[in-house]
Amino acid sequence: MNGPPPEAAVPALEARLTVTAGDFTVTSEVQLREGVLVFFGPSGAGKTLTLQALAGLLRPREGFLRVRGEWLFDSERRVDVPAHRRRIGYVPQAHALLPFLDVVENVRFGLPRRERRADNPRIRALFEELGLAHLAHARPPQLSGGERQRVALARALAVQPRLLLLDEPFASIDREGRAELRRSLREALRRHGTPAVFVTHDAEEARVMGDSVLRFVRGRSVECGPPGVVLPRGPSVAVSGVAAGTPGQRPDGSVELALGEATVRGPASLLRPAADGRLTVELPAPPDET
Amino acid sequence: MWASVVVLALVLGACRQGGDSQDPEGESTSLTIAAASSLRHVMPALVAAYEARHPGVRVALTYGASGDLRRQVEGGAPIDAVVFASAGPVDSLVRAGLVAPGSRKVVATNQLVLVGPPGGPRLTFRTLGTLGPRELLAVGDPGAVPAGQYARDSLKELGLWESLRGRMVLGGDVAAVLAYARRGEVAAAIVYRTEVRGLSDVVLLDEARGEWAPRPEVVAGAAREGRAADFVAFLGAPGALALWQEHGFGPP
Amino acid sequence: MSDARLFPITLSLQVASLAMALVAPAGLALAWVQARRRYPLRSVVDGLVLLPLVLPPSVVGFLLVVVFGRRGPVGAWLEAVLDVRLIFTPAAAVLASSVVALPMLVKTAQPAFEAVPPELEAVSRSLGLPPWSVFWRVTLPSAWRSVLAGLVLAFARAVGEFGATLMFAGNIPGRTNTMPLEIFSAYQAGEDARALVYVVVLSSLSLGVALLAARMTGAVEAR
Repeated sequence: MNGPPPEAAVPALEARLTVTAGDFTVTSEVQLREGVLVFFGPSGAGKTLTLQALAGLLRPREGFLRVRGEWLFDSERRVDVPAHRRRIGYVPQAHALLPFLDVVENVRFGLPRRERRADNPRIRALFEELGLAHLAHARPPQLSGGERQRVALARALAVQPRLLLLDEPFASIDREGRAELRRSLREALRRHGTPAVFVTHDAEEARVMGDSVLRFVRGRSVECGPPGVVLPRGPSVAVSGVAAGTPGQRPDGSVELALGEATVRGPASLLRPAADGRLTVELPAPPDET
Repeated sequence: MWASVVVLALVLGACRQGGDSQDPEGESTSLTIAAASSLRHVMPALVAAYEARHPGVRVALTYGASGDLRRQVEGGAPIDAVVFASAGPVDSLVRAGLVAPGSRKVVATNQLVLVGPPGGPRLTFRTLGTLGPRELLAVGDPGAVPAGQYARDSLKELGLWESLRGRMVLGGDVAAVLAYARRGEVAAAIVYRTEVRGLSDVVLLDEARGEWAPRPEVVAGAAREGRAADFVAFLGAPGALALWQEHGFGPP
Repeated sequence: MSDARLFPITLSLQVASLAMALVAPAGLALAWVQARRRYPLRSVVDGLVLLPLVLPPSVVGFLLVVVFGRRGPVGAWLEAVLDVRLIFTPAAAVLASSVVALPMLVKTAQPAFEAVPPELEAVSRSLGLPPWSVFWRVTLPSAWRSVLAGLVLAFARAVGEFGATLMFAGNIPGRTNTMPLEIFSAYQAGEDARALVYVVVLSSLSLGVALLAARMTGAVEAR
């Protein structure tokens, strides 16, 4: 039912947003053609605020937001489509389920009244797909954390969103459960052809979930690219010393800084001291882009 | 014509613990008198005259609807004498043994009048039936306010009581009834003549006189013989009559 | 029981029901706004809502007369423009009951609304529910236990209103003499047996509503 959408050439998500909450401001530039974009960065870097602005739960101070080419927000033209008309799904870390409804009722919650029948085939398929069939009439307080997030995911997908936003959805799940859930989520997103933004501060999770990664640092989105490029990699070399001057930018975009007395530290595999006292540093090649 | 007001001063023997109120003639003593709201203008003058004749006697006054005060006395309030605007509550205190029967006395009379706000409809007692559908008549609550009982008696005599049902707002005492008219919230109010002396914010519409008109009496009684009974006797004595009349009351 | 004896009972029921018809929507809306919106005069509104709860009924009654009386600013306007007179009418009794009942509902429902996790509402909006549906299908069902308790308290307060009603609606037999007024009037007249009838009816009514509410919460609990 949900193959790759015909308008695949149009990016799933384009946004440039400045969001302010209290005295914290986050500025971000977001691009996603297809697949899963991970918002990566430490807590307090502005990932969640940006996500909530995408969902329409917060009004950005300025900027724009387009999903599949449709303007959902534009501060200049005063466009601001309310959250309930954006068709953007949202799965928070916790408190996603209505405790007074059972699992089936939760999953059907966002459907129009006439589609809320028990035998809706699409809902039945979702239940199979996410391994929820045996839980249909359980109530949220009886479920494990992982089961709850599966239900939340099923409910978000049931209304066929154009984009799915997930805010550290597996943060409170134990390690094994998390791996299982990541696999289920990736499969479900692929099968439904739903592009998604996934927030995490965990580099391992970012690597597993992301087709691309947008890194946030102290209220800014600073770098976007494949996980292998953006995410911190394994072995690294640290150089420290007293700068002999100001850093200079070279034509190729790299930065050069002369150091007086310097200390270089790193694994022996990367550092090769030569007999003449010079030091060669070898950096690993970037991994293949996926 | 004067409807008679019976002032019945009842000396109540209830909660006095002996001691301060015993006075062998002329010694320092204090009395607490419960008086109907309708007597709030005349009582201070009467008390002042009494205290002038009996140095050392201090009289404290408490006002309220007669029915309400009767309940207080029954409940054990430390009252030495009562001065009510009708005989009923006094007599029931006599029956309850809270007022000395010998002290009961009609001390003055009063008259019902119909008053209204300036510029209101020119009603009389007999034409109260023409009250507009949204207009109201203020009367005392007949259960507790003697002026209300007298008003009910008059309206029943005139055959208007039933037809005015739903358009009579009941006041908790006669002062409240008058206040309804003074604030212009009602077209007319039935109060005592003595209530409206010197008021400029209400106009006198009619006086209750004739066969149908009740005769309001001021009735007093003391809780026991002695100083309180002496005070009650003073209220009904010829020496007090001038003060009663000065405030619009009639002779007993 | 004669018509005149029955009247205060039916009147009290009508007045309290109409008051609740005003208080329920107004109180829930107010509680929601106070729980979920931040605006400049929010704390002032918080205080105003509380006022009838902390003021003596006589003050509430006095203020109602001052504002809605025939010579009050609103009362004079109503009479001149709409030809409506409130004071000393059953409508005045409804208004007096509503004013004192409103804070009971707001002060019970507001913390309950505040306790509903905002994520629950956010998720529902993202599922396509307009704000009104979010309130009906998420916020209210999440807080319904407290809301029901608030409604019961408000009803009990409305049906038992005495002081402000006496001052603003007056004691007009056959028109505005609700049960509490009748109890007071009968007591003053020394007719304790008559007062007792209304005391029993009024007490059973309030207690009955409270028990019914407790039963409803219990029944859902057991589900």
